[in-house]
Amino acid sequence: MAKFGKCFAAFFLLSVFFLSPAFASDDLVIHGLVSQGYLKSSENNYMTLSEGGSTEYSEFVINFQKQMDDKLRLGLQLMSRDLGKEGNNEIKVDWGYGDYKFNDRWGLRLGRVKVPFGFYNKGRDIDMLRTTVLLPATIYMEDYRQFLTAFNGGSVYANLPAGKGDFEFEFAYGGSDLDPDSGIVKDILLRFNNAYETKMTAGLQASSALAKAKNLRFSHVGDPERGGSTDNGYSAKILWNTPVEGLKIGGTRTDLDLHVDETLVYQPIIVTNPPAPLPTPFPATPGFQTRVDLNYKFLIDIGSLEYTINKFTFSGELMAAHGQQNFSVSETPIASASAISTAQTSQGSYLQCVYRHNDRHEWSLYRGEFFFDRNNKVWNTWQKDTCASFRYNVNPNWSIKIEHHWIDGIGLVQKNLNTDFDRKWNLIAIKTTYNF
Amino acid sequence: MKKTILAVFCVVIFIMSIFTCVAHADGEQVLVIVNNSVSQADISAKDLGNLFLGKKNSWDGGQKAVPVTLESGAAHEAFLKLYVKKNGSQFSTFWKQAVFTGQGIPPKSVSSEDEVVKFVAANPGAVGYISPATAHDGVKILAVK
Repeated sequence: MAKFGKCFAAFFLLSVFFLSPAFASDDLVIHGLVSQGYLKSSENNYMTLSEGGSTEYSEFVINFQKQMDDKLRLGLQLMSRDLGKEGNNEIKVDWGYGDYKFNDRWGLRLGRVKVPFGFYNKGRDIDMLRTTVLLPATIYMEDYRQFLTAFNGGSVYANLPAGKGDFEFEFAYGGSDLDPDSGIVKDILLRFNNAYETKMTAGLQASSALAKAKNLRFSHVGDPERGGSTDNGYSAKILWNTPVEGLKIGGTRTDLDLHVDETLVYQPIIVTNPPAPLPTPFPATPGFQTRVDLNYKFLIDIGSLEYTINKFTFSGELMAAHGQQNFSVSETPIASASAISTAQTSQGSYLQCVYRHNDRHEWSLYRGEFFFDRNNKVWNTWQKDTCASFRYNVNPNWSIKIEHHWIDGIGLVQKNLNTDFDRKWNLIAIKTTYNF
Repeated sequence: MKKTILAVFCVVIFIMSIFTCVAHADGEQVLVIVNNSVSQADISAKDLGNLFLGKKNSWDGGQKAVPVTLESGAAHEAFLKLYVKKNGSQFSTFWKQAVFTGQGIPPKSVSSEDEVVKFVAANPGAVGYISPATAHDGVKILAVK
């Protein structure tokens, strides 16, 4: 990713500044934004260590675009963000590509392209585009950001007139690297570890004299190597701007395989607090190192609808995400734990009403629901979120927002940020953004 | 407590909606002007709107279209309402989204109608809009079907 970003940035700058002036028909256009937020939850750390209140929620974005000729446009956007343990203000290429428009109807983008996913995924990091601080997480999950922000690849897009309305199509193809320290990778590993430790412990107790040792578990004690990526996948979107003024209907399908490769170290322990070594006559078995390949296959469908009338915008989206996890482990001492497979269909939805009172004041109310497994609805895997927001535009370039979430469940709470959980909790989010 | 806050929120929204004013605009409030190099004599309302949304980039004969917008004002709001089907705030948000997601570069924007006329007169393929009372020597009027 870093290599790709540097290469593209170098290509872009060389193209813009050193190609023949004959190609430079317009000026270089530069825009940017700076954003700072604050999160405070009553219980459960959410995205950051929010229980104590957190200001680790900021973005800095700058982009450059240049129309090289009538058909070719080059663009590059750099982003640095901080959200709890993620981002840490490291500068990355958010998107960067060449956009060749064959005619008014068809075009092609090559480079690092934004992924079409629902109505609002492309602008999820651009705070001033919406009334709320947080997009409904029941569709736009923080954990999905890692692999749904942008593809290294390309996209084909089209705009086709249809009577008084028109159809917009986009098909993006590519993949991306995963940050091994990101929340999605950690949560997948946590899920694997829970399943693997259970199988290992059961297998060990059933097959050896260690079964007599009370409270024996096989525990994950380290992971010296970790890496992640996605296979090339696609995301396809169709949007119908209907003849009814203000009414848009859309659909998205995303198909992607996510891989995490990890070297893990496991050791048998007696479960006490703190963990105790194995008692005699069982000598302490040295920890063993194994290689695990985690494959997570996603197939996600979203239906979207938005209707704007006068000062109101009503929107709603419904998502079904089919997930299949296959964990294969090499060199495991217990044969029954060498392969683990799980599958589920997650469901997310929300309904939102936005009222733009005037150029300065906007209000929003939304209700979203997410079920990690729609066939097994329990509070620790669902999340139901009711959110009321207010946005004040100090001027066209500077906005301040505040919102309150009433939340039931922890289905979208990052498990790696918490040691215990509460079912009912509240979240306050505040954010201010300046753009130019 | 939660239900009370939601009820108050809904009541506030409802009261605000009562005072919502719907802006009415008609074609007599704006003139659409083009550079003399544009051979096209008329355009559909939908195509005109698409020129300013970046969905259409050329005139029927293939010449590159170069739209110019006003930053604000009555002519700006009337034009957007009539042909782009957005208000000034929605139009601004549309282009901010396009800019920050890499979908396009917004049209050039100027602060006065005189500047619109100057820009349109000086740039082949240019198209803009002004109030009917504004002097518009050196440009052509484009009829909107």
